[in-house]
Amino acid sequence: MELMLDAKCAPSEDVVAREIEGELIIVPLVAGIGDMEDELYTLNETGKAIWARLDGQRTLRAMAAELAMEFSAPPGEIEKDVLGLMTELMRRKMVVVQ
Amino acid sequence: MKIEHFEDIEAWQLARELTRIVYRLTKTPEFAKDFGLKRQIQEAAGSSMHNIAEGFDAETNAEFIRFLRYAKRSCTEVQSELYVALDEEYISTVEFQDAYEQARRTRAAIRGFTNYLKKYETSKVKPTVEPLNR
Repeated sequence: MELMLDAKCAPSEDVVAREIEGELIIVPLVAGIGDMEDELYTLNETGKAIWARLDGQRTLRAMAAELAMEFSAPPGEIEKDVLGLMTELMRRKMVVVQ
Repeated sequence: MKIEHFEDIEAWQLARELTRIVYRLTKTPEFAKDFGLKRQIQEAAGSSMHNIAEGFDAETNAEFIRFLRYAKRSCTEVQSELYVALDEEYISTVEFQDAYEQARRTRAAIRGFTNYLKKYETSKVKPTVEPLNR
């Protein structure tokens, strides 16, 4: 399924995210998340900023607009980054489209 | 630096003032009669403003930077045309210095903003999700 900017996404109930010493760790609760069994995942700083906005309420476009303001960057650039990460997270079943 | 609208960009504000100065100078009867130079310098000043605004809607920083480059060139063009206006005695030395300085400030602000965008481009980290400890 191709992800669109009008989509609203939220973290999957099959994962929990914990911030440990500044690093955001995503812990799969069930099998079949990610590429390997029992593997933990981490988001980089930019990824964390996106994850923090995954509330199932905002569209990805609105999220990108907020980030564009925060980083003083053209929204089009950020939209591509947001879509790229969300597609990756969806592939790993870490987020769901509301 | 938070920029929500192109009007928030300092370089655009300076370019607007440059355009205002140029239009004021070209209203004098002597300058107004030189249709070619009047049109050229007005267009160059306006171009410095409009390229910044147009670039703001660019899809990427690289495209935005290209518009800023056009805007910067337009400032230089205004400076060159001011020399013609001075040599032809359409404007006084004081008017020349005032307008030239405004063009210089605008150009510097565009250069600064361009460097800012380039820095953002190179320092930006693409958002990623990676397996831990891999």
